Amino acid sequence: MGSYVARRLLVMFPTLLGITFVTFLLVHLAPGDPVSAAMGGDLRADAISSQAIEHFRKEMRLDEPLLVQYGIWLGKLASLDLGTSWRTGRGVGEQIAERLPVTVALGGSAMVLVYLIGIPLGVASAVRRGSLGDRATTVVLFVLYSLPSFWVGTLAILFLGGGRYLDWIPVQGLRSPGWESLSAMGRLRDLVWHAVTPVVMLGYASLASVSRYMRTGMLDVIRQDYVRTARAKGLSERVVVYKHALRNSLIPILSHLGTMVPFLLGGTVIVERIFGIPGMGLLMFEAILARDYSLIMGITTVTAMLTMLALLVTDLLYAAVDPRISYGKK
Amino acid sequence: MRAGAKIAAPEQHPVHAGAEPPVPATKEPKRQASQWRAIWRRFAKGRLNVAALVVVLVFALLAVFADFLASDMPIVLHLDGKTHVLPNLRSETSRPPELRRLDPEGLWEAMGPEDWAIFTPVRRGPYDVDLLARLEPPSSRHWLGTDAIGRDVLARIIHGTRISLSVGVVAVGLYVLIGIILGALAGYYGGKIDLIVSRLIEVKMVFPTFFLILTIMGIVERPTIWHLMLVIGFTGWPGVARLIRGEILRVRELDYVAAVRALGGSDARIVLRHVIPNSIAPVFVAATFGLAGAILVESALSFLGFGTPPPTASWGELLTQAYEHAVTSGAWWLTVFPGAALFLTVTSYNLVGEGLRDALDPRL
Repeated sequence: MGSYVARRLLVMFPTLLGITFVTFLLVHLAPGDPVSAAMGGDLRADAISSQAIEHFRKEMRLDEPLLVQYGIWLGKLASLDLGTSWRTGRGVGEQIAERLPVTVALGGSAMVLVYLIGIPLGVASAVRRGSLGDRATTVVLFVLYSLPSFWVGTLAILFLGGGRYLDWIPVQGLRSPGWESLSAMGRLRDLVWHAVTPVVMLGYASLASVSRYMRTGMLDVIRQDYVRTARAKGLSERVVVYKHALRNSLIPILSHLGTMVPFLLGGTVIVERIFGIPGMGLLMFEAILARDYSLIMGITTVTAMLTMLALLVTDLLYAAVDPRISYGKK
Repeated sequence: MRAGAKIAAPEQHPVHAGAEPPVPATKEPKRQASQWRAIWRRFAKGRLNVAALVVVLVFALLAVFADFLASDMPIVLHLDGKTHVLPNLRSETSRPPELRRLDPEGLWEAMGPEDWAIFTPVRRGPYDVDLLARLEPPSSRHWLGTDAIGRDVLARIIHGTRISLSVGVVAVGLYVLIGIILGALAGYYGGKIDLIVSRLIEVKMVFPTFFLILTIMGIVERPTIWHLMLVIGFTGWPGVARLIRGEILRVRELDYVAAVRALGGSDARIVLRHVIPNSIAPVFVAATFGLAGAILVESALSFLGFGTPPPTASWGELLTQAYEHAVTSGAWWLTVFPGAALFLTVTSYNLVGEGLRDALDPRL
């Protein structure tokens, strides 16, 4: 097991190298001068002395060949230094460390909720296949799957928040004004209240796919001989479904876990932008808007690592759920 | 499901066999025709599938005939003794001088009792600004209301359909093509090509695609819809490549491929005439879902401000405006209608994709 994990971690490096190199090339070959962007966005080049620009270029080592620049970037990465944000002058790592927990909490809650609701829903649909409930669930989930989150988010802000129609949900940020004066419990409640809508927006699309996967997996398993045997020997339907069938039908769901992480990360850009939540998605949005290259590189690297980690965890969970899969010996 | 396919075949064959002598050369197209008919029959069994297909076609027609549905110029105009044909297809600058600077109201006033015109149903173009009619709710004049600078929302939705659908079609067309080529090379030849393509697919799997597209669109200096098409096209191929690769791995070992090879068929002939046509079905399904996805990506990017550049009308751009006005003015028509168009299109493509998948694979 240990050697498998080590091997997998080793294989990650070429992939990470590929991803960062592609991003690096993209970001540096792109038209649009990073210097003018860094020195205040729309400022025309002639407004700043060319000497200052030259100095800046030297300092940022923009005059070196691309490969050398990439080498420098990699070297810094090895010592966990992601560079400095050109826009704010602060460390990229520091900024990501500040924003990442928000996004992880948001995405994590969405994921937990999706699985908590999606798995039982999928099982129930499979067990009562073809019933009215099953068909209704299918339709509702299908609709959810096709609903763009930025539309639903805007609708929610328009009709449920802001007070023009209703004032049920907060529309911006994660804290109410006057947050400092709240008690610890009050702060928690305030935070949860602010997080509910974004979490729902982030998760509802995945809910559809998780419960679909679950339904399909369950239907596959329930037809198998061993389930019939379990029924034949007189086990109650509950034991058959939840003890015997569920475990095996969890395997396809696991493979979905790995693809869900990049999906959620992409979704956070939109959700955090809509609700003004200071997470990594919003940071990415700001970084791209400001052409803050080192920040873009940093966020891409971190998200790629997160995704690969999720894939690794997925594979390890495979082994935990299915004893036929073993990574120990070959 | 399977039985349906079997019944369909005998129904077709006797008729044709009696009408024509059985010539081998014409046999293949006929077999395909009945195969497609069987697929259509299975597809049409679902009423929702057919409804979704109708919605897809309606939006396609909206896109094609946008200029005939919403324009500031009539389709035919007889003004001051001169007949102008299709002035609605011309841009402001290429119009005859007497038609320039005529807004819909001005045109109405300029028309005398002798003049006549065939108007478009919506008498406004997507760019016609009317600063006196800002943020007007739906009315008989503006069926779906107006935006912050008085542009007609319906006209913008109709013309936005064209943008959204063309981005979807071109981008998906591009990545299906790339995916088929790379997938076929990897699946048929294996070896080094396979290794490279498979690695690329793997790398792509762990890369949040939306981040990649966002980054590229963010660093392009003046993004146009062509950039958008290219970016989605060049990032979307791995799914198709993986499908085709898997299918080809399966098909290339089948007896009939060995038969073609024994008859001296070249690699190109085997792949293009025999292997790809037999593994294309899942690609159709993937492309249909892909269209829904590409339309969503386009509007999400435009929503974030990295997609179609203003003032081009696109659903995402309309929704950006809607977001900006959600709290400040409560202009619900800005949110509800463009979003509904987007939702309806995406749902319909997804439904058609599902219907197609079930129809193509009767085993399910």
